[in-house]
Amino acid sequence: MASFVLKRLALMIPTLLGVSIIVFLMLKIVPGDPVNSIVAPDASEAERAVVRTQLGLDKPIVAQYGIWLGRVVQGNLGDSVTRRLPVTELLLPALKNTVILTAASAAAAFVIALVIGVYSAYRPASRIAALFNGLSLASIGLPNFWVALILIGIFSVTLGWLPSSGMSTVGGGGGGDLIKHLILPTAATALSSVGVLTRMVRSTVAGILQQDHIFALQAKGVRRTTILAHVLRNGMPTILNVTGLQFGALLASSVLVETVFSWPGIGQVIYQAIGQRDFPVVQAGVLVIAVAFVLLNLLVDAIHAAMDPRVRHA
Amino acid sequence: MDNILEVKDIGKTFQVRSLLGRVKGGVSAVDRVSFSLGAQGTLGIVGESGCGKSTLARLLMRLIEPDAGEVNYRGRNVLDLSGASLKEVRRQLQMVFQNPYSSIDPKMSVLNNVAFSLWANGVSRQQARKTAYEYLDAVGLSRTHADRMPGSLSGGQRQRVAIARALVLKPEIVIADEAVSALDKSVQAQVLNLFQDLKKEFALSLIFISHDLHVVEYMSDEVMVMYLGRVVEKGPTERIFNHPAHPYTRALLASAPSLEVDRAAGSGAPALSGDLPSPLNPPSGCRFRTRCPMATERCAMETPELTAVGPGHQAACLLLKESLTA
Amino acid sequence: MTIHATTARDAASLRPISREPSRVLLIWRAFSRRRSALIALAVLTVIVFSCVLAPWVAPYGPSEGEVTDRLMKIGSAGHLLGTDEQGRDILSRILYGGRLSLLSGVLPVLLSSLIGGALGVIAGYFGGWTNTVIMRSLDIVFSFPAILLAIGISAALGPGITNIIISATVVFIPPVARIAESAAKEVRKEEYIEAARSSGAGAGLIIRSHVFRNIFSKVFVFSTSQIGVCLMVASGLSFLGLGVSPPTPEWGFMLNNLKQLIFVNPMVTIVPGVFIFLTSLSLNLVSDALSDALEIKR
Repeated sequence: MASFVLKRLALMIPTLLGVSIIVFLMLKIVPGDPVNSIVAPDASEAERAVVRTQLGLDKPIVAQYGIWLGRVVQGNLGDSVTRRLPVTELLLPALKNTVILTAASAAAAFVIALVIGVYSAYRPASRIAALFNGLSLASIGLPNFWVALILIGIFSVTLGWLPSSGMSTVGGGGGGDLIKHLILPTAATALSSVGVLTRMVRSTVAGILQQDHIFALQAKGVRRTTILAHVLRNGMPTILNVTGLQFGALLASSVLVETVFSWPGIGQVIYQAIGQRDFPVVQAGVLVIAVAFVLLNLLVDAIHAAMDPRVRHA
Repeated sequence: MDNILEVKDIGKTFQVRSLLGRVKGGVSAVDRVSFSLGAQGTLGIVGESGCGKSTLARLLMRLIEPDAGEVNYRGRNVLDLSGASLKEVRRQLQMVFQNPYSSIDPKMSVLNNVAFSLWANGVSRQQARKTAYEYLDAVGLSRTHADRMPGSLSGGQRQRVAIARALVLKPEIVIADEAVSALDKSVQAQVLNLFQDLKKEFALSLIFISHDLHVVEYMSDEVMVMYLGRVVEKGPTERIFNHPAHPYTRALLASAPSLEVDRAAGSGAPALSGDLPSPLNPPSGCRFRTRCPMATERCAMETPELTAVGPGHQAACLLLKESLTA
Repeated sequence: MTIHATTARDAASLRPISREPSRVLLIWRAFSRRRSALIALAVLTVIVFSCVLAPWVAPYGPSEGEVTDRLMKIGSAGHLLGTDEQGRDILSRILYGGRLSLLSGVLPVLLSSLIGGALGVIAGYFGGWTNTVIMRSLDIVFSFPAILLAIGISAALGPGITNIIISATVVFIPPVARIAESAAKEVRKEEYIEAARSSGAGAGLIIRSHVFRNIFSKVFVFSTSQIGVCLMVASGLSFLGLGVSPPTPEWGFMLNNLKQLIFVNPMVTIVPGVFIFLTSLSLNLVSDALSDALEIKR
């Protein structure tokens, strides 16, 4: 098990390096001279050259990348141009909030998909299964940022049940308050994954129900709940694995949803930074989410391997 | 009879790599094979699947690059050639492949499948199509077939297309790699007869590769028997089938279903049993010894060389050498 | 392959077989057996045509409107889908805006299919080091969540529909390349490739005349399935303000504008979203049915 994780960690390093190269290049494709945003418009060529040297822009691009990467590895993601503070100070609290939203969405998507998926697998011919099948297909075509707007329109504006933005009420707080603020963003984020997961759970469970040992249990007259437990135990490694992989998709879809709900996560930070053309923040935000995405996939693989020994030796 | 093709000690070992790209070992697919092909003669190559027959064919065509040896076509070593001169020699050697469902592009019309070979050699589209029609006609396919997609042809018809495609470059040598094995028995006979007719009409030399002894016997002047990448016996067809020397050849003949009851050669020898050993780790010495009823300790230590056992007839077996010298 | 049943009939009796229905007709028959796909195709056709023909179909110009007419409800006289915050007719803006939205859904897929298809074919056909270099590089692009990478590139390049198209193209290259690579690898094993090589054909000619032909339907089906996804990614970028600038209409950007008015009229954002959703859903249904009709399992 340990050697499996080590091997995967080793394989992850080139991926992370590649990710860092792309993120580094992202800042390089910004049109215009980065010096312009720092010096006064009427600065002399000598002044500009000084700034250029300060920023390391006079070095070859490979050296620039090396310096940048060295800083990133030490946790220095640069400074925000507009807020005049280290990007990490901006991103770390935001990352926590994004993780809260993503985790809530993953949990919601998992539970809903499990219930509907198992039901549809048991009753494939029922009207309800057909309805859910249609809905899950439709949900894949739903833009989550629009769903977010519609949810606000219904539940916040019209019905006034739930808050439309932020993480907590001004002056308020506590767990209940957070959950109230979480419900709508979670629903909007989870939606597209619910569709994907439901279809996957349904086909996994339906596949297990077709196997001989299930028929044998049924023939022996074992109770249905016991059979269900059996089916779930068999299907769980697969289901959890796909859910884990969806975690990455949820992380990405939270970026757009956060902007609608002003949820103070990384998506919101990136969105504001785009508006202010604060590129170091955009770059760092993309890097943080991409690295989280890669690490998540590793974690999911490790958990899957722990649950299913076949994977380890494949 | 002049030899137009002389092959000397050709060999190929496929390297097997681990996940990280380190070489773990090699599969000796073809090991020091030599033979010659007379002008307008037919050489049959026979052996179980996995014995390296198909690899040998691809080495001759340079579809796979050999590690060692020479392929001399009319005195020129094909392996030394490249570029235009290789292209020139290559069209003299053409191949008919095993699987008629894989050897014809399903997305090209029958005519274009044949004409493609000519385009590849710089013939104009129009001229290529005209020539392709002629060759389709020569293999017994009409114009109505020519314009169809291969999907609507039967296996036998497809193999005719493949033959036309091989012939359209006017080669001197055609290599048929299990060219009839995928076909029904009745269709096999027709295609074999077609090969015989075309051989006369176009003055071809044939290399006929098959695991089917009857097919090889029917087609060939000379036969070469292969086992795990090595030649174990070769000689005139009549001698191989009536006086087989190598225990493997005998076992092979004994295993083949035969209509003739009293075939001197096969009778008496035990039929082939057991599986072909893994070519990744072939037996030392004589590669056949693990399945040979007569194997001795010596067979594990010495590698037998081909030695004459009759006029034009050679076999590679230590036991034969003993009996001859004794 | 299995569309034509092949019979190992007597090869010598070469009677011409009666003309069979063309492949296109067979595909259409299989496709049209699905009612949902037909409806989706109809919806798609209506949307695409009315957007393309917007100047003739739309009741108003895209920027025409009086502030006095602002925020009229859906179904109002003269304004079937209501008006926006500046009194502009939403239906007209949808039709005009659909041109850019559809373009930013289709064009990146087209471009990425060409680039990714070519890269995948080269990687799959040549194998070895070529394959490793191309596919590993693309894997890195693939290891980003798609929308995030698109946001990053778009933000760096600056707002504009062209930059959205560029960033979406980059994001969609790796998946197409993977499909093309695995398909080309399969084709590479076919004996007709060996036959072509032994006739002396060079790699370029073989790829052009054999490989492309035989991987086309797989790549085509996959690419059509990506249009709906791409439309959502592009409208998402546009929603973030990375696309057009006012007053140019575009679906994602219309949502961005209208979202401020949600407390005035809670359902004000419904129309552009429905159009994005309907188009994307129809595209998915059509491509699903198409892939089944072509008997390609994904």
